[in-house]
Amino acid sequence: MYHVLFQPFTDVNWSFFGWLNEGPLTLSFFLHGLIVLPMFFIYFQEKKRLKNKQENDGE
Amino acid sequence: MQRQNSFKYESQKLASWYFTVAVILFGAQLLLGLVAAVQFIYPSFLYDVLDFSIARMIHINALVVWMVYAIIGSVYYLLPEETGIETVGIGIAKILFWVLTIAVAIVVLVFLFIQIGPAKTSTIWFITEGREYLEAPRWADIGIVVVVVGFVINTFLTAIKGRRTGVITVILADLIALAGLYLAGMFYTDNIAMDQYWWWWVIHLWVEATWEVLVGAFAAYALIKIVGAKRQIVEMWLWIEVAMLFGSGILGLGHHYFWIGTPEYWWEIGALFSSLEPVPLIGMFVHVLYDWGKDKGERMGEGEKDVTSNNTPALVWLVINGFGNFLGAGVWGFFHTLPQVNIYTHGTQFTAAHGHLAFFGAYATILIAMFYMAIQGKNGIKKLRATFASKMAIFLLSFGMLGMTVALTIAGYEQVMIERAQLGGTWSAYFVAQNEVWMAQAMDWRFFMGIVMTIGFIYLVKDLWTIGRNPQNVY
Amino acid sequence: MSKRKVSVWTDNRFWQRSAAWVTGVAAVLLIWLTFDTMGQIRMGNQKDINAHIDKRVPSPTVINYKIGYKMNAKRGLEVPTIGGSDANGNSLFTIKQKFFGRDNYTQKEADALVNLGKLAEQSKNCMDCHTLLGNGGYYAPDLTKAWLDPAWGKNGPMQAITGTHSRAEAMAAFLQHPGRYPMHARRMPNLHITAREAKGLVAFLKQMATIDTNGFPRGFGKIKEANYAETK
Repeated sequence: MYHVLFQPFTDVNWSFFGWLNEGPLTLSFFLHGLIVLPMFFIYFQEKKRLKNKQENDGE
Repeated sequence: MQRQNSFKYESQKLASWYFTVAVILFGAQLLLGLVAAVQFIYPSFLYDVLDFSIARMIHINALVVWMVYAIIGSVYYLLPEETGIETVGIGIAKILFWVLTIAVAIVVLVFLFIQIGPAKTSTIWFITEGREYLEAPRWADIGIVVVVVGFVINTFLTAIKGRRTGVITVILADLIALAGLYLAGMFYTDNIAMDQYWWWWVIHLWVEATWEVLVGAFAAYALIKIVGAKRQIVEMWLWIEVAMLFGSGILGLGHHYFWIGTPEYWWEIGALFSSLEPVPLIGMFVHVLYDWGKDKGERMGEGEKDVTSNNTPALVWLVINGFGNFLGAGVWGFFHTLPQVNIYTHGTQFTAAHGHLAFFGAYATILIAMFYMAIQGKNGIKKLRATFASKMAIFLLSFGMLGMTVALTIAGYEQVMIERAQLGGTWSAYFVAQNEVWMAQAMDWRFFMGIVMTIGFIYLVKDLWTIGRNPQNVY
Repeated sequence: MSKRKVSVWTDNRFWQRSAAWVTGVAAVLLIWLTFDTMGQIRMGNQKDINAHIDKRVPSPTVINYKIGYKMNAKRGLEVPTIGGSDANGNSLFTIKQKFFGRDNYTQKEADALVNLGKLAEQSKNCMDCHTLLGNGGYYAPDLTKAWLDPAWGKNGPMQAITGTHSRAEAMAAFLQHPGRYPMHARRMPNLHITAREAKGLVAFLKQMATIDTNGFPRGFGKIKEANYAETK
């Protein structure tokens, strides 16, 4: 399985992105993760804001 | 003009100028497209007079320029309505319109009559830059940048002074990116890999990112105007679309970096991000239909009898846009976006098939919808009904483009399989594939469908010219 | 105090902030990737060839060498070779080949030739009929590996038709008078290419053929039956 999931580095020049590309979808997870994961933080922050707003409105 | 002008704002009058030039250039695009299509069938047609390279160059440049005109026009049209005030610096905006139009006219004349030059830097400055889509010589590039910067500043100042809606915020941010990206195409390098790398920054980040976001914003505005959709919901959709379009589209640029000398890691980046590009396009289509149906249902529930939209031709073009964007940009794009198939499809008629349907489905349609909205505004029409000519234009343009795309797709399959996969892509392999009867038939059909589209275009012009004046269509 | 649930998913501010974040990060990542790629596709020079270093975009002085396009054992795809190749498809950087009678173009001369060729390629609008690196018009053959095309080789028809004895000379002759050597009903128009410009263009084409395009076009020129097929 190892040689299927992890491919040896074969490109002309070494680079960080080329290195990440050796693992199974590791490059994609890295890039997508940076883009999508912080949205959870935004989500909870906004949830807190909306709850606070609702409480203030209720009083 | 002798017609009564009901525009409330000068900005909308200026928009109608932009739209007029856009329609003329649309016609030029079709005409030169027909010339190029004939040359595929009869290669000696206009040989050494108006060669394929020149016909195609004007064909694709007219396309980009008419769309840029229609985009600028659309922004000037919706700007005062969204912000609630007249566009700031409208006098300068009108001067910039003439500067741009004169520059475009000179460039077209040079393209037509001088065509090419010696291998010198002066050719690149004054005749042609020779980089597909970016052929405009450098002096014109600088002119375009000046005009566009003026346009962006105008929009910006108006938005600051007036009401800043979500639609305006998106358009503003997008226009700054759009103008900035053009600079990436304004330099010379002897390194063709570097040249193509930055060339795609302009081409891809325009048509697969910033332009798509403008489509989202125009659709949002149109839905509010013509079916009375709720702004809050429409703008929420718009932000989701922006997130998804830029989230997939910016790094989706990688699908152009498979074979131009760039590193292998672009295979994975390009494949995965560009595969996600159709997702927001499905969302946009669902969104248009959903809002239309929902609003209609609500008003019917309230006992309202006349629940049709207030601008039928614009609405139909908007729905075609939703579907055409998904089909042309999404489905046809995905067909050949993975490197495993792109190694064979790259640079074949398959790309042409995708390009044709995507530009039409994603952009031509929504811009035509904006034309109809301007007609409605210009004549102060409460409800605009589709005429026979509107319907013929809708049918012939859409059917013609779909037929052309199918023809080019078949040509693409044949070329991919025979020239590339079977014969290994050499000079003679190329001509073996071009001589195949399947290619010849496809090119005949493409020409025929081009004629169908041109007839549709004539109906469109007739309709845009007359629909507002005929009281029968207005109620 | 109400305990009603709040809906973040239908909140405009959440989506607006998400859109801004996604766009910003994607743009920053693209810029980062661009810096990385720029470093890799910068044009090489003769020192790289002397040191046997593979460059994605090699030095213009490759015009002094024999070049090829071989399946590379390590890469698993076809890679351009410079100055001959070993059994694994790696460049040897040794075997020279005369380019218009010379194989000792200096860095400066070679740079100037490729630059002239690139200027000519743009000035003559090549890309509105041909594709280069697969981009351009689809009315004429792809030029990515045109230098290596068997049509211009010893067994191909073009040297005999143009009355020349090398690839470079055959290509230059054709470029200057394309109407004289019709290969197909679809003739290349006369673009008033001078002898000097033609030499530059051929240098540009030869250097382009040595760009590592990750194996595009696949199997180029490998199918013998296809190479000299009748082209009308």
